[in-house]
Parts: sequence; C-alpha cells; structure tokens
Amino acid sequence: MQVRVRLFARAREAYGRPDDVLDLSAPATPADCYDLLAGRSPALSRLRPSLLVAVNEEYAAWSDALRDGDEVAFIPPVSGG
Amino acid sequence: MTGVETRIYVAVGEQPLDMAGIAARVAHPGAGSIATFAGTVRDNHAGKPVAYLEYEAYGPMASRTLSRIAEEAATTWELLGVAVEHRVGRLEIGETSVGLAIASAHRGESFAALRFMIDELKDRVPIWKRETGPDGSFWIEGPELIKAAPADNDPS
Repeated sequence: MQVRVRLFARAREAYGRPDDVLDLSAPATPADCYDLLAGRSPALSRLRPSLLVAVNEEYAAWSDALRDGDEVAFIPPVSGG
Repeated sequence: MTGVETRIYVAVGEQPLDMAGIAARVAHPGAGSIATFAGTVRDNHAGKPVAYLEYEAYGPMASRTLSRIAEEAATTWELLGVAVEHRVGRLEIGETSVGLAIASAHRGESFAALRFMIDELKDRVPIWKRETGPDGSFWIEGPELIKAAPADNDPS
C-alpha cells in the first residue's frame, strides 16, 4: 500500500523535505513510516521522543493500522498563537 | 437559550488579520458581549531580541482542530458566534498572529470561552513558530528554543 507522509517545522527541516510517498506492505503503522524516514535521516531519528503523529488530519497512535491512501503527518511540539 | 446554534468561522492563511472584521463575523442581535483576543508578535522572547516570526501550519488539520475547539467551547458555554483566524508566513513585530472573537448573551460566557480557546489553540493546533533574531533562527517548542536551519533571507 501507499501512504503520503508530511513533515512540519523542525521535522521538515531535519528530513530535508516537506513530504514523501512511501510504499509499505500491510499491515503498517505510523511507526513503520517513521522508521523508514528515520533510516534515511539521522537528524529526524533523534526527534522521535518529541513527535506526535496524525493520520488523515487527526491525532493518532503510533501503532494504528494504516490503509492505502492514508496521509500520515509527523507533528513536532506546536507553538501557534 | 438551549438549542441555539453557534455560528463558527475558522480561517488559517497568509492575509493580515483585521480584528474589526473578525469581530463583525460574530455580530448577533442576541449578543450582549463580543469578547476579542489578538495575539501579537513581540520584539523579545526568553530575554532575547526578536526581529520577526515565521508561522507554519498543517493547514487542513489546523482548521479542523480549530473548528473542533470552537465546537467544544459551544457545548460548554452558550455562545452565539465564534470566529478565529490564524496567520501563517512571515510576521513583523506588532502584527497580529491570531485573532479570536466570541459573542454571547452575557460577558461571562464569552470571556471564559475566549480563555479556553486560546489555551487549547496553543496546546493542540498544528501551527509552529520560528523566531529570528541576532543569534539566528529558532523553533519554539514550549519553553525551549531549538536552533533552526538558516532562513533563506537571513543576512548571514
């Protein structure tokens, strides 16, 4: 299955681009997506403890089951306002 | 007043914010109070000078989360209208980064809902600020300043 990943703020800078498309074999989770990205980017791998994850624009668990076409976002500590 | 539908307006974008326009969105003949809040760009943070801020958002999720927070406020207090706008992109000192307006029959509800909404916004909405000053650029993560990659327009 294919999922789109999006990275923001410090995670975007660490990975070097704002999004990517991953081919994964089911079953797959946001943690699997992150591991793939972190394997390509040591800078990103150090951010894991501070990141939250969202699936299809809703906060989600790292262990949630993904479906083909999902959008997975990695969310550093927010600082709006 | 039960069963009153709360009008909710949410926007995340690059346009400068107009507080009068945001307040006008919640105008209601049953309102006795319109409470507004403007978050503005301060020229210092953690004891250091700030030259400007850049805000980044996960736009669709930010809008969706703001709508949800507004709905939560509307279930807690009897609100006639909620309008919230957050700006993204580069903001100069003194500019408004977030604007909120809440209408209710009496002031207590709109004051309380206003405080709730800005606190929840800062806690949950996927928006980030990057601060630039004489020492470079930093991501703001709670109390922490994290050194950021140089901005395209940094003098260095």
